[in-house]
Amino acid sequence: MKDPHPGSGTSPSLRNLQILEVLARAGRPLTATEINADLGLPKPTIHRLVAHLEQEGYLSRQLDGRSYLPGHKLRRMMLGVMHAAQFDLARHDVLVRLFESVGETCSISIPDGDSLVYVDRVETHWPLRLVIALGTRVPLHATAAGKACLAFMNPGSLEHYLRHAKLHPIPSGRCPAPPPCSRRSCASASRAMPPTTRS
Amino acid sequence: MVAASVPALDGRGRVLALLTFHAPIQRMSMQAMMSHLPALRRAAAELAELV
Repeated sequence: MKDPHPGSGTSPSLRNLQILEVLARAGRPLTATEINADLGLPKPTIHRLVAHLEQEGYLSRQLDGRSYLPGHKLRRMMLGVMHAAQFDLARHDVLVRLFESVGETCSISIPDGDSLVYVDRVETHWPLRLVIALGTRVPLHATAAGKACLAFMNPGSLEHYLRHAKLHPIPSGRCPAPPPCSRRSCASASRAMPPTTRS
Repeated sequence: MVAASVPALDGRGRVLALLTFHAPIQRMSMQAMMSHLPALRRAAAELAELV
């Protein structure tokens, strides 16, 4: 699933991040040309971007004068990122405990507009399983989480969604298409929620 | 495939996140899935408290 040329065809605003990503993955000093082997940007572009990142302290030049390492700003950022991970830990812990009780893949997703984004998951150990990469967006109308989300949407937004959403069936191999959501199914799902978890 | 999902709600009843599990129907019947609902609801309530 890995794109061999993440730099081509992606937004220019992500290019600097991709440079840092390549460098972080390599774990050794890389020249601009080596970094670009993954990104496939025009030569003048990669040299300009790398020089700018060095100037701003995100990259530092090695003694050989040609290759780059993460700079002091990037290292500081990394420490901040690792520190923030402790907030993820509590969230992940909830997921792990649920998984221990259910024994099947458990995931956390967050609603974003008319879709859901998967943010964390604990995979089942069974060889037969459906794997959806973190960060994947799925439509509200064709997933369990999406339907639960619709059930708790405020009436105005739900009305708007039902009027404008494109409720395409999602092909899922031999499984029959899930029943489409409706005002009635949304209302009955939200009533099924016990009052303790509602407040 | 069976799948169950419960929202973690904030104090005003808005959806913060969805907690879900899924399994092939060959491994988990609808009835077995329903038996896990209390655990799922508990986990969703815990998740809501973290925010």
